[in-house]
Amino acid sequence: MLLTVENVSYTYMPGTPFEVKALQDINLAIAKGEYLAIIGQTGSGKSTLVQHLNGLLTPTTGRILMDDKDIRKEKTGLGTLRRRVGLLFQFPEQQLFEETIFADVAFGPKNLGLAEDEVRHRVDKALRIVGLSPEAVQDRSPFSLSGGQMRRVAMAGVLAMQPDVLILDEPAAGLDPRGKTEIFDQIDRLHQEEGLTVVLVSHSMEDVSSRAKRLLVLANGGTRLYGTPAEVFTDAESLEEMGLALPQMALLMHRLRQAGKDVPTDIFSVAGARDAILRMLEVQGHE
Amino acid sequence: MSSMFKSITIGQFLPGDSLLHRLDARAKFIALVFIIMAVFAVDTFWGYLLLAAVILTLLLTSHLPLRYFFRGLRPVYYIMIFTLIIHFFFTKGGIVLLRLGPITVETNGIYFGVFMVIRIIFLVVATSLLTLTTSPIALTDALEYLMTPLKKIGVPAHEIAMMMTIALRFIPTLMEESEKIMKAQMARGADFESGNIYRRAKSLVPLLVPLFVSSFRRADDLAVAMEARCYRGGEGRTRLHELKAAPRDGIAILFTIVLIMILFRLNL
Repeated sequence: MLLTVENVSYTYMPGTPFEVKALQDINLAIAKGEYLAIIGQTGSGKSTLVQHLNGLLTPTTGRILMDDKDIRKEKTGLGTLRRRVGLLFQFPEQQLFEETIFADVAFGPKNLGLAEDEVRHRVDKALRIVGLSPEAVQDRSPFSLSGGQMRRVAMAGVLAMQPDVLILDEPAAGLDPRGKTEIFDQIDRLHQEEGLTVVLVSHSMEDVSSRAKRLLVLANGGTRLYGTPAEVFTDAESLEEMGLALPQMALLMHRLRQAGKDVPTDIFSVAGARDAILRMLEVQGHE
Repeated sequence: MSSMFKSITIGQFLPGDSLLHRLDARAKFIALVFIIMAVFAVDTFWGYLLLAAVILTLLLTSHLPLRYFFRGLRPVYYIMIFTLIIHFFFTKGGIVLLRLGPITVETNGIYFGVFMVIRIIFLVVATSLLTLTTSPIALTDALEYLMTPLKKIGVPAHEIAMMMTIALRFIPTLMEESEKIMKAQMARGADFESGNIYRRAKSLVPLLVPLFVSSFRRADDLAVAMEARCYRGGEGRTRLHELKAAPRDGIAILFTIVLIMILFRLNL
């Protein structure tokens, strides 16, 4: 198993009146090539959980394993873990600081101690992946870009580390619908073409349900539901109780089902819903 | 590292319902000034005992969690130890207790060192009692009120108070943001913890640049938001929470004045 979370609990500021139990007894296994989405409302512990995955936070109790080895017992320290697990924070454009876009994307590879031409190669590749032309942008200041482009540069900065796992915390927050689709399509491509293991953190079922292979639903720091999107969406009641809306199309299927129609519930796209309803009508027509 | 910023709790307000919490912020402020004067006036054993009794009573009646309270004082411990050592070796007079070549430790050094540390404890405990039981807003309101007479000589009392309010309001925000940016750079392999001073200072650039950028942007947003709600300085401005003095506030101030008088009497 690439990454394993074992009985992990985490408490912020223990022993003070501001103590918060952010995570409680989380278990999770992330295999190579996985596409996992962690979903929950604000304050459910999703961001806290992903920070454990690359060692930025250490569990209060429990352990994190990489390749079945406890990350705290690793001789090389957290360096290897941080190289292999890339984490893109929410609003990553706020972390840009260099004078040129090239220098900013090169920050990670340089910290890895790579040779000059390898750094250049990686920066070029990373910029291309996020849809920016290295020739056109690399000498410009990152602060001269639009918000959406800055976010791409920040993403390139993480990709240039060439991680095995890419964790993205709300990558589409604050983007317009087109920017949203673009960034999710890029992530999908990375998953399919580069074989990257992806962990997506989101509060929106709509955004991730059609893309992720598995969903982990968190509420109040604990695991509430865990499985494929289809499995998770069968429990519409507890999702609604947690304040998480079903994706529109899944909701439609769910309602049809409640009305006694024979339709599958694991449908998240308009096209899929159209086909399912047509099929249902056809079957009804025959009866 | 990650909890570095969160462990700073000196003077962080803890809501509560004790007598100290309910006292008017202005009264607490004036009383604190008197207690500080008392701390510097005290010069006898009985004086120290009386002051200790008063401050301990205040601490216990404030219902603050003691463990939390003393943990917040941790940074001050170093200052105390430093004071103690300086006095031990450099204050001369009295009987020589220890002689190591040219270095001597004499009774006056022990005496002044210990009493100086006790004074520091009094000062820090008394001031943290104020900030722990008073919301930052009430505190700056009180400060503005107390500075009002100074407006006549051109002191911008309202502006100073507003600046303090805004600064206090944004300290937690800035800390949160520093932590987040630090983590984001650490996720890209940045190292904030090793190397010599020069390398460490240089490693702060990836933290400081984004922090400045966002602070300026935030200041700009705040200015626009304030102007959009017609803020134009303190002239004729009313308050959401009026400061109201009760008899107990007068009694509190009177109490500290009596305390100073007793201490001066003991010094004679």
